[in-house]
Amino acid sequence: MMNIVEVQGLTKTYGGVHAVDDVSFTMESGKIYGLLGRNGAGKTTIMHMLTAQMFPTSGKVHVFGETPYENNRVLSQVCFIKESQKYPDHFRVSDVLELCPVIFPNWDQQFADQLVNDFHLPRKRAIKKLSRGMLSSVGVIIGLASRAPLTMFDEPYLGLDAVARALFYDRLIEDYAEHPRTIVLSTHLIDEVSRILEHVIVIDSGKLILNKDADAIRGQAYSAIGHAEKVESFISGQETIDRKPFGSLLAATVLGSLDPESRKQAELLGLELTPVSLQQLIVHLTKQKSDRRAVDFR
Amino acid sequence: MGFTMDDSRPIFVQIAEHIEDDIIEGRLQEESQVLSTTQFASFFQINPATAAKGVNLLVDENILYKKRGIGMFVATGAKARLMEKRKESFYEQYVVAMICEAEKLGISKEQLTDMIRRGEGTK
Amino acid sequence: MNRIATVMKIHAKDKLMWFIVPWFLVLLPAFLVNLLIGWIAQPENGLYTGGLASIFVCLLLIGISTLTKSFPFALGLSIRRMDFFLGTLIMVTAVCLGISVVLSALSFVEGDWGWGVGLHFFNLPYLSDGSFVEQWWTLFATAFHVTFLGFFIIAIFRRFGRTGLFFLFPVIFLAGSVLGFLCTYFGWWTDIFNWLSGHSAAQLASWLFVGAVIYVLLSFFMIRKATV
Repeated sequence: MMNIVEVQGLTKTYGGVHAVDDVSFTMESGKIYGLLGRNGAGKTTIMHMLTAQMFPTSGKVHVFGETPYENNRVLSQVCFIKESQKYPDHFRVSDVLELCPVIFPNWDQQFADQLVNDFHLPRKRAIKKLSRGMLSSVGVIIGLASRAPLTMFDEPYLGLDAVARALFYDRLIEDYAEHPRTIVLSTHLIDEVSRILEHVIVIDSGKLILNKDADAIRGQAYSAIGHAEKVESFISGQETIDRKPFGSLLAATVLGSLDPESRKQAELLGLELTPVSLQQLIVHLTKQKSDRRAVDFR
Repeated sequence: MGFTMDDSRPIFVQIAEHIEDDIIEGRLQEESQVLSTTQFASFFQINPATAAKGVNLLVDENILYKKRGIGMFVATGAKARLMEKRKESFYEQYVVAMICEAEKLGISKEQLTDMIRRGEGTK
Repeated sequence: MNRIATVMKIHAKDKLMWFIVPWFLVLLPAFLVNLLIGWIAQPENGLYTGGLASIFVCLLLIGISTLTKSFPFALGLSIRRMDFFLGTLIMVTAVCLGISVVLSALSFVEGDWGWGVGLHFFNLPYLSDGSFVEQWWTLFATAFHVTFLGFFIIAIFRRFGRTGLFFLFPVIFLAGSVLGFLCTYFGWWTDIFNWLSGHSAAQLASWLFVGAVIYVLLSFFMIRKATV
């Protein structure tokens, strides 16, 4: 499969602070990626640099094999929906939608119209007068109907209620199945999107700490709960990413898959083992603000 | 097997298990068509590529086979093969564990078979 | 080309800013107020007013707002900086052309007639001297200049951020003070006034146009490096 995004040693510094710090990854065509991490981790900055809306301090960015800066061959294939998108004053929803067919070569007007109805978006209303949720749905509609070969959603569902979010996922999955393309979902709400993701890239404090297939991460960590000393002996020699004591008990989260051997050992020690979900794992990995080195899964 | 995916285990494995259960419990007959990956994806709200991976796992095990341009079908003899596979894991998961536990508690072989008979009686 | 046209479309959608505000919310009320004053006061030597300047102030603000809202919007929609710049340049040129032609026509209509009350609103001494083309050129070059002055100022902001503007204004102020002092010290003021009065409005407008071209070029280089 062709790499449509290639990032190498990407760094962005603001007055001595590393907003993005030596990040390298690639993205293949036709996959759904999760760009995950806490607020302010550097996700948005990375996407701004992928679309040449910001300039890297150092490092290489290639999109569709070329540098994106002032490059219409690249930019016409990219749709970046960001939470902070600005609109000219007095613009109405319809004004924005009318511009899209020219900007995005793959734009599907029928699909866009259907989405406007699905999301109950008032076409004639000024963008300024939209609620936060409605504003988010404008972005969602543009992003989906653009069918851009690289579509990036940055926190696309702020203010959207559960029904609208479910609608977004539904339409995304359906349309993606019919028109495969590379989609990047950037969010700190991992719970809802994790099942849609094929590949996960986790950024923490500007650094890349995880870059793995989503299904390869699931089942790659578990928690052991029980008496502190017994838990300690069980986890010794294993990579522990979280420990939560309460009273004489300890809950420790360990990287690694559960083999029958350790299951048996845990049973002997009277420990309770619970699997860790993708979301919980990422929360654990990004909880410490210290500069944790990249996690290595075996 | 529920109707939502558990986020702590690989989803493609869960999709495969879901189809296996349907075959074993007779909801999916042999030579009948399986849902498309797109249908799986929208029903479970998962990535279509992941759904395809789960289906392909069963294709590799000759449980499903592909009819070009039509879709995926349950292979003849799939149920029997799955039962065989499950029996093997039943032995691993339950029987071996039971015997281990019985040894720990000092339960004799005779007592154990008695217990199994008693268990059958309650059914 | 498509994308340049899209940028123009983005601008054109804002009819309020480009068309309605300058003509109907700024110039028309200014004109009507002056007409009313002329009608009430009936001045003997005619009423001369600077109300025309209002539309140029308006253009300055238009120059500023194209870059504050439309630029981040366009960039966010995967439009190149170059395309945004060219689309905006064409749009501004077209609007200035329109404004200058209409103002020239109004000036011609006003002429010595003065709307029956001796009002000189569009046809002003000195500014409206010379041929019709010269009058039009004066108006066009001035309009173009002020719009790109606004554009230029905000391009500095886009490129260098708030600190850029904080540096710019003291520098301009300082340079102006030093220059003023030097002019007084060496007695250049009379020469400057002689030079200015020795040229027609249209000739001075050509100098304004040269200034505008410099703004355009400098803005272009700053926009090329601007971020959202």
